[in-house]
Amino acid sequence: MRDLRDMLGEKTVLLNQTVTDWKEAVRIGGNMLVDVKAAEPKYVNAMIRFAEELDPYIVIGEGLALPHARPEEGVLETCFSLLTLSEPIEFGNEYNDPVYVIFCMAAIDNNAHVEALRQICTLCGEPENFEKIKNAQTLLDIQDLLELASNSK
Amino acid sequence: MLKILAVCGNGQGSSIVLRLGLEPALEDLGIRDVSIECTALGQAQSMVQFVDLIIIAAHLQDGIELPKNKPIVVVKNLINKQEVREKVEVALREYYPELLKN
Repeated sequence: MRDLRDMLGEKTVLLNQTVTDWKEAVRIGGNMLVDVKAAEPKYVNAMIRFAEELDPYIVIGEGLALPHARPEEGVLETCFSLLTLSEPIEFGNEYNDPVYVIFCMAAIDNNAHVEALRQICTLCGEPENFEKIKNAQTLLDIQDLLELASNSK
Repeated sequence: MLKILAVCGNGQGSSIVLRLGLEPALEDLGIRDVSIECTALGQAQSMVQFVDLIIIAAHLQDGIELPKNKPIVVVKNLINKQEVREKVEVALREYYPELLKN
């Protein structure tokens, strides 16, 4: 399962949520990975710790965060979850805050997640597509966008 | 061969994002003989002296002692291919102009 289209489904996508802070956002995104048995519960805290220790650099693009931790912190299977926010939140990243879109990542090794990461970059690297993700209302909207991004590489 | 080191917190996230942005940019610039290694901050320190160019997220650059005689590409928006391309081209033009097509 290396294609983002196989990873993002009903259990791993939550749209237009409201959170009080970035940690809650990471917790929601992380818990989805736990629910589909891609990660152990402890992985969620590891992602938060990792973001705290290393500055908020996980905000890799304008409005986009990619929380993750090491495979040995409890990854069971390579997977991503997607959380979008109706009200953006600050991670404390001076260049790319505020964040609307959060892809939580569980990578079992250095390779299995690269193709999915490429799809995320293709999708979010186009401002027009990124707006569509931010504004997506249903899982189907996301799946349509993914299809588009996968065919255009 | 041009040896590039992409650095991030654990070598799996933003450094790979940087690599994915670099690949088309380098191809565009006509540079094919290249290796891009993704690595974590912790390991990067011992590797910086053996590479030709280092690329890193702006937020992490204080976490590593970077060599002064090598091009360091510091990226703010990692998924912005234009930013990656422009900054890499500037660095290559300054340090390795012979590698560029024109």
